[in-house]
Amino acid sequence: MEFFAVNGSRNIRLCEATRKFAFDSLGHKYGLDTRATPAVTLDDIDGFAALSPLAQYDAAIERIVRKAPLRLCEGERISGAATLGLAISHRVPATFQGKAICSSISHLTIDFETVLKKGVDHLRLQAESALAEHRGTQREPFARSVLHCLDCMALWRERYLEALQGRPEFAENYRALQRVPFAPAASFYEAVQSLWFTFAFVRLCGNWPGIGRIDELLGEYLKKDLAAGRLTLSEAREILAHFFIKGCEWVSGGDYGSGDAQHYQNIVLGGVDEQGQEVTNEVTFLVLDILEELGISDFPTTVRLNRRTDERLLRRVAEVTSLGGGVLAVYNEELIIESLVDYGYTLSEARKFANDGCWEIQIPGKTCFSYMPFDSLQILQHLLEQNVVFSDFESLYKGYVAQLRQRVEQLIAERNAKNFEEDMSYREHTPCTVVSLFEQGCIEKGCSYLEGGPVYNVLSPHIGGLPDVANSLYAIKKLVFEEKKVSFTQLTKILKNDWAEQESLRRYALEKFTYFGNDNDEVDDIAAAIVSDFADICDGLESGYATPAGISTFGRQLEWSKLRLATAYGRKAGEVLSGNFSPTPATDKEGATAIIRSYCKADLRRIVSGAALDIKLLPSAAKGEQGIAAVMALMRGFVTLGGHFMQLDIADTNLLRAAQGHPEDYPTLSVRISGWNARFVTLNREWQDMIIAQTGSEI
Amino acid sequence: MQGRIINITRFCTDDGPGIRTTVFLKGCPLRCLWCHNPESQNTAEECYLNGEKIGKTVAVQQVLDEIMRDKVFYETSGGGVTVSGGEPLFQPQFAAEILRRCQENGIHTAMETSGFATPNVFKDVIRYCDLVLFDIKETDEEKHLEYTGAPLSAILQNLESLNEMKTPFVIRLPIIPKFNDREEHFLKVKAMAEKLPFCRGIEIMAYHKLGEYKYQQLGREYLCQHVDEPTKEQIKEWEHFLKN
Repeated sequence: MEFFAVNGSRNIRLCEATRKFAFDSLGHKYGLDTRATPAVTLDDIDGFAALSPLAQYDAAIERIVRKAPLRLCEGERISGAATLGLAISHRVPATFQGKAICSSISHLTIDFETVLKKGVDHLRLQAESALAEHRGTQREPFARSVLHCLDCMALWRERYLEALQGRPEFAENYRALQRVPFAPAASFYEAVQSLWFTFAFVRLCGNWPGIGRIDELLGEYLKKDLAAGRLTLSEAREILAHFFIKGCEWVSGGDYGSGDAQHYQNIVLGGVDEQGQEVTNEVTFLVLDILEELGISDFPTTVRLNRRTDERLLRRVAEVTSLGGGVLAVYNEELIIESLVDYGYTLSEARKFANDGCWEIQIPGKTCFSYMPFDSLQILQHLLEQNVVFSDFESLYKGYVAQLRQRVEQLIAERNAKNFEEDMSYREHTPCTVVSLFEQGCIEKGCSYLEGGPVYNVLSPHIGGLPDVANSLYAIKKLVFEEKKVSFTQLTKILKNDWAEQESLRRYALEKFTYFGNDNDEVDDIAAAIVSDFADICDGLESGYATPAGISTFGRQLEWSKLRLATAYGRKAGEVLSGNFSPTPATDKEGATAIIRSYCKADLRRIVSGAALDIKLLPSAAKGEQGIAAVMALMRGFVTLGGHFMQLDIADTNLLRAAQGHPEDYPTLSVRISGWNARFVTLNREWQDMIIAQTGSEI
Repeated sequence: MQGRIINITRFCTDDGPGIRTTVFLKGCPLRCLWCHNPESQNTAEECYLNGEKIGKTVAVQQVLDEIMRDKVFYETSGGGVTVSGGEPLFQPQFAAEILRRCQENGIHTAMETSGFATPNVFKDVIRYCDLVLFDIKETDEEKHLEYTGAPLSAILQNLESLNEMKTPFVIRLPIIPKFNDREEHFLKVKAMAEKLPFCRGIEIMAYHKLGEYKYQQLGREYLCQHVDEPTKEQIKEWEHFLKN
């Protein structure tokens, strides 16, 4: 029973039974059963087709909580499980005549704080008074649906209590579930059970919520229990480990998406609280202990760093990072808080930030978030195809920004139009009462998550391929306008022909110039200019939503590669290019410090939704005491230079190729992908190849 | 002032403490049989057989500009600059000027050297070093001359003057099986280290063949073809011997 580490070995602190539970769970002992029970059926409900979408949804949730199989794993310390397979495919797992009744909700972190501190019963009180208020209005059906879904949650809890009752090995689980999540949690153990049960319920109904700031949520409970002598740190670690292990319950989604099973369940650690006090507490370190020992990748964890981050915390982060697996990433919270305040959030609200379950910034429990990804490289390629001749670099750049503006405005216009014409229909057909229970604003307003219920409603344009645009523009600047190796028209023809019979010029473009990610000011300044111009465009958009800028690809470079032409910096059509705001694979030659410097030259405060930087270090660079010190220094430097979000993974192509060839030998090897990570062997071949291409190799 | 370099490498973690930028100077007076950087031996610019150029002439200011780029990371890691080669003492004024300017800018300076230079030249460069990584290839006079083409005495004299100048240093020991993997050599080095209080430790640089392909690319004969790389166990044994 060994948990894979790229470097060194993993410290052992947990008991054998917990380790075995983890190993079995990572090895898919649990979770495969969801394939046998993808969904509950609604076919037997008389007149189902004639019901309103909301009434159909209510019937579905009730059927789910009554019929979904219960799962009790051997020795589990906390209970609850999302056992219907269609949820893994982002659907409400209830079918009518073979079809899922509707899609579900992701990209949000729900309000666990209220659940833990006030209990679900508090939400019921809110819901009852909301119904009284909205009775007789068009809000009444939703207000009733809220109460219905709270009843359903109670029904599901009842079923678990029945299953646990009289089983001495689950006596503790039974006692806790008699109280939570409906009553406020009174101990650390109850808080963990309350958090897990609520999370599992929301997922059971098809949704993919993030967790948010787990150390802030649980820290006080642990502190009190420790002070009262009710609990030891090592006992608390065992309990919390079960939360992480239970989080592996969804196994590979098969052909859906990348093939992995991690669904936006990110966790955030550290950073300041609403008042500006550091949150880091014993729970922070317990989480790091668990990640270090078990390498569980299913809760990708991001640590909020600032310039005052405690040395002890940073060291633990670096130690866990150096083991490999990419489970940890870091936020530069000072820049993020400033950026949110600049955007209009109050300081205390900004300090609460977490993510949407991936890495995009949001205020948890208060935000309806979605984003609009687009490929900025294709915009440049369309411009070059239009037979417009640019006589100097400035006019080319201006021409590009004009096209970029048009594209972003068009995206938002389509979305706005959809809102007016189709949106009501979309919203009616996508009831989402279950997540609405846990989003502040929804119950009071009588509006669902999708209908504007939450406090903040965000629709973020996300630019992808930005480094490729910067590299392309830079190559054109050099080849056409400075060195005059080729005319503008000739170059556009060459690109259209995919560099056919132009191999020496292609190699010249590829090798002679130094591209984004090597700390070359000339090209980095182009990238920085696009960042600022894109932020200006987003700030100027007219929409009922907030439209903060974001930079991401989340692996979309794979599907985009099929639509892209050759690039001026020497890459051929169809190549998989840059991910997020990271250098194009194989163009970064100066190492990690240069990559960070290139990335940080852009004013990332303007990118309110976030800009991810992916860095892969070779195992040797992160090995031992020197390696840990280097990782710490990279993270500190990242904060000092004004980075936003960085995912440092430790990997080597040789290792990844070996895992591709012999997946059975690497069941627990995980890799960072973008806002999440996955067990490498569960990924589709295409995704594995993309990750290998982004990774370097030891000589 | 100008000098000749092979290249400048950023994010080095093996050439002294913290994250460092290492400047590789071109040119070396020694001809160690096992040299893994043969392209750094000649001071003159040259080419590999495929036409790729080796070495470039640059001004101190250009080197400084490149070094300064990672200042933030030197600060966050306790790192700095390392001047290596080739043999930095072979371009003493250039090396000294780089090191001096770095110190002036608050950057920690280290030099990796064979220690082969006249005492005055040596001291003129060392005064700008916060740390020296000092290679000792062999402690037997005759063998040293045979393996490196240079006499040992000047090197040992410089090692002692390093201590007199109160400059902290680390002894780096390239260990080449069948050449210098002798107990008697190790014992001599240990004795030397013990009597020099500014010695901060001994590091083993185990022989490897990663430089072999460069000889082919240079059209030169590799004289250590028959030498096998030491095993991990062997390296551990050496480390154990030198520590105890």
